[in-house]
Amino acid sequence: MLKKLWQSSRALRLVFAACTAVGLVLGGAASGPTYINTTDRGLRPINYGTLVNQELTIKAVDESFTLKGGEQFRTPFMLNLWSTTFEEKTLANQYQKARALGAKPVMVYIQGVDKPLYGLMIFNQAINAAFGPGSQSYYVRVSKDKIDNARYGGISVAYEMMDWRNSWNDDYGARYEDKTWYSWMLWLSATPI
Amino acid sequence: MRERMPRLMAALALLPALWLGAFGSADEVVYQETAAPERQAPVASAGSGGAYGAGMTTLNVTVQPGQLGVAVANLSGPDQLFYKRETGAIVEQVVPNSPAAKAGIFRNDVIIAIGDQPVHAAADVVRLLQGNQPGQSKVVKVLRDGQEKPITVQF
Repeated sequence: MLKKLWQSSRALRLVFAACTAVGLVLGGAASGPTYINTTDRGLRPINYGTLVNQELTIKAVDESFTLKGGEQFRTPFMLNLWSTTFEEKTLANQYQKARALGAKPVMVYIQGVDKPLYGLMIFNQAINAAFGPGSQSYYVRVSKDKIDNARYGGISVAYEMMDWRNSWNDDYGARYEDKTWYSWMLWLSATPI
Repeated sequence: MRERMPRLMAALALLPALWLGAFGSADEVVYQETAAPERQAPVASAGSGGAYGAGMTTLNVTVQPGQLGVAVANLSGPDQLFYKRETGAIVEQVVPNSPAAKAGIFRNDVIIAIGDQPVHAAADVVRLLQGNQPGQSKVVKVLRDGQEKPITVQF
């Protein structure tokens, strides 16, 4: 009987088609996948660090701090780098961005080398979702090749990464992914940057 | 039969479409970021002492006449070990262009005396600068790089 009705009534077929179209539209507009980021991004200061290189002394140009080689220091200033991005491949060229973010100009004195290097230094804060030693204290170590590269005309960037956990809830439940982000950064050059 | 087949195929094609439609598309993600809570100052002392909550990012406050323009805190356990002393008020932040900034007081200086009065804790900074008048100057003694350093501050 239904078959007969279907074959006989053009209007019924039209109504069915219209209902299908409406169904498709409503289906398309139905609830999308949920993504709720639950990462605790509350800022947490990192109060202490150590300049590991015995041969280095880092002095702020405004004389607000001096970091002495081999000694612990209380963090002279802290910025919030958690809302910004750095393109890793072109890090050396991003000193202007660092300056805009509040990086402090420093002079880096190397034992046994007459001419100091020019630098820009940033200390980032941790977030509550950060973990591991990099989120507890700064371990400022500048490798010799980076110092040499800067001495011979290049721009080097020394940095340390801290671990943090990006957590979120989605349709599959609570999930996380461990990531890293900069804890401190130091641009180095033989000429002012 | 010939008419039924296309209709059946159309219905089969529609079913997955409805199914997929119900799940929406990637650009319809409901995104809800958790807000970062406000940072609390280690010790927030305010008032005529001119001390402010010590946020680590830029302090956006106006220093009133007679105020020093610093955020100070009591020495924490690690601070006491680092500075090898138990008393004093550590400068957590200096307001740009404030009397403290102009005089050369920096973050991490430990204020150990104001005038001839010793500073044992952050609250002493507030107390000792109460009633301070603009134009007045005071000597603030700080500990920096292990050395005591008197700094004259013009309010």
